[in-house]
Amino acid sequence: MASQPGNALKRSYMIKGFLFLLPATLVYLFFAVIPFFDNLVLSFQDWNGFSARVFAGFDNYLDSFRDANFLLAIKNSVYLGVVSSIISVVIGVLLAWLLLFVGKRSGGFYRTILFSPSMIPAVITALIFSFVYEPEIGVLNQLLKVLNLGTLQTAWLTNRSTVLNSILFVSAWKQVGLTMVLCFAGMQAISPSLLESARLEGAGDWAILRKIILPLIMSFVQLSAIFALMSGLKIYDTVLALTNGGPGKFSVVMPMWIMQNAFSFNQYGYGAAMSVIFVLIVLAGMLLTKRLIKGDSYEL
Amino acid sequence: MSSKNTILYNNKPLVIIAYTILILGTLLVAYPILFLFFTSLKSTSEFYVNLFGFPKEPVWANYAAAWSTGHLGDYFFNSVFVTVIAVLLTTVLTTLGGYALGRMNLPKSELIIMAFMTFNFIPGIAIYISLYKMMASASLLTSHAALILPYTAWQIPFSMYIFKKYFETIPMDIIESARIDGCSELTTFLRIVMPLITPAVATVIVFTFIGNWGELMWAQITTASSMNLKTLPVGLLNFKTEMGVQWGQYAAGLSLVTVPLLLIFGYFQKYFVAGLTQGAVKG
Repeated sequence: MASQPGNALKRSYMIKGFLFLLPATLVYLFFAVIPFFDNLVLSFQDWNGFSARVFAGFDNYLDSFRDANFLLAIKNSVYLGVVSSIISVVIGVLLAWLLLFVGKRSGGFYRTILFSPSMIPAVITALIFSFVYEPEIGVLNQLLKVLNLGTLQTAWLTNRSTVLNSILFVSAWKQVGLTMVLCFAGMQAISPSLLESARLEGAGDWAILRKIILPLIMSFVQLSAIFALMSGLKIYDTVLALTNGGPGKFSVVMPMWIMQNAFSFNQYGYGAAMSVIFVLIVLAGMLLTKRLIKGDSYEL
Repeated sequence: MSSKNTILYNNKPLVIIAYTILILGTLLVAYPILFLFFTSLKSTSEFYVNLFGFPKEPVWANYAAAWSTGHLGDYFFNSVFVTVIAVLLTTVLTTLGGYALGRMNLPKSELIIMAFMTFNFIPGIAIYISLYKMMASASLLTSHAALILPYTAWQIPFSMYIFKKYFETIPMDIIESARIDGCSELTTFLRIVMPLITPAVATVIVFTFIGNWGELMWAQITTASSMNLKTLPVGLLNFKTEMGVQWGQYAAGLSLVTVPLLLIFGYFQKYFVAGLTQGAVKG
């Protein structure tokens, strides 16, 4: 049995602990948790921002499922999230694996460059790519001309068959480095003697990747897949700077349409309802990814 | 063993493939950024005849022109001011909170940090609508606080998570011997524990800085009515229309923001990566 003074001491640390935790918790409650729950309430109300908030039941939710632009926005956001996470995981793992075959110093150089887009704000990378995609003087069309592939030239961001994949490319371009760096960290944690003994037993490099490396880095793959899916589902800055949702509303994404309804059309309740649906989609995506990619932790 | 990866070197064709793909990938990532820098030093007439290459006669005046006509100075000041204060506030709040969760016998500390982290995944737009109205009724929308306070808050979960993990690596013996020597909890925290966690502080600063520096959506919402609060991401978005076809000046404005960032964070990259991998390491 623990002594009385020991318990009293423990309790006094606990109380001090709560005091240490309190400031951060209060700030977070005030600027994230409370607005989120107020937003939840607002999603069942009609409000133009000035008059009183009026209860509207499920009207906002029912409206949103009849809103063709919102449905298109869901489709676009999900497409960008799913495809860009698949691309960045496949390419990221591949690049991380290839890094094992090059010298340490040159590997470090490639890694730094490939990771650098992760540190540039998304709005800036998108503005850089608006140079690349520009139809008249853009790098891409000019390059195609130099390569004698002029027939492939197009107005990348206003042509309906190329606009989404042009956005997708920018998103993957930015995301791949992060996946690579995460998975490379996972691979470095694998004991070299494990790889060596596999090699001595005659396993080829491809087999080592599939049978040893991949299973051991699954928790890193899961994490980077979630990061990539989240950044794709929530993509806003990149689309705003590249196309502003155009041509027409063709490349509209969820946060963009919600922003417009709330802050341009003053339909705050409607915007709130769509944002709640957005939250549900994001949470479902996260749980699904966790399910699909089992990130069991191994003793490394 | 000289290098961890030596055993993988014997497959010659694969080594050649690895170098080829990595070099091509590096070019694909580096070229758009280099292109921006090259363009920033070209006159409009040179831009049209020499699109891809290095400028023949560097026009440094593009930078001065972009800085003054694009109001970049104002945006820059706002971004630095807001980001630096928010980063400092987050760091102070979360070192305290992380220490409490990691080393002060708080019950359910694992559950508390998971609650913060789960909430962190909620898309911003589900918070902004109500927060905007709250800020408006508190008359905060015209001051820098409209950006500083939310930015401080939104970086709390991840930073506190990193600190909690890091504090847990510090042996309880060190803390307890300080307590037995009669140090108050705050003295123990400031004098004994804080000096041991400088790498975690670096990670959190780099992380929160990058997060706040590039934030666009909330900055757009709050600065829609008050011009004088516009940060760099908002300003640069308008910059394009203001510049017309002054490609060199436009590119100069963008590289003014990009190049210093790459130089600074190229150097601090390991802290960024350390923070990210925390999430995947068995804890």
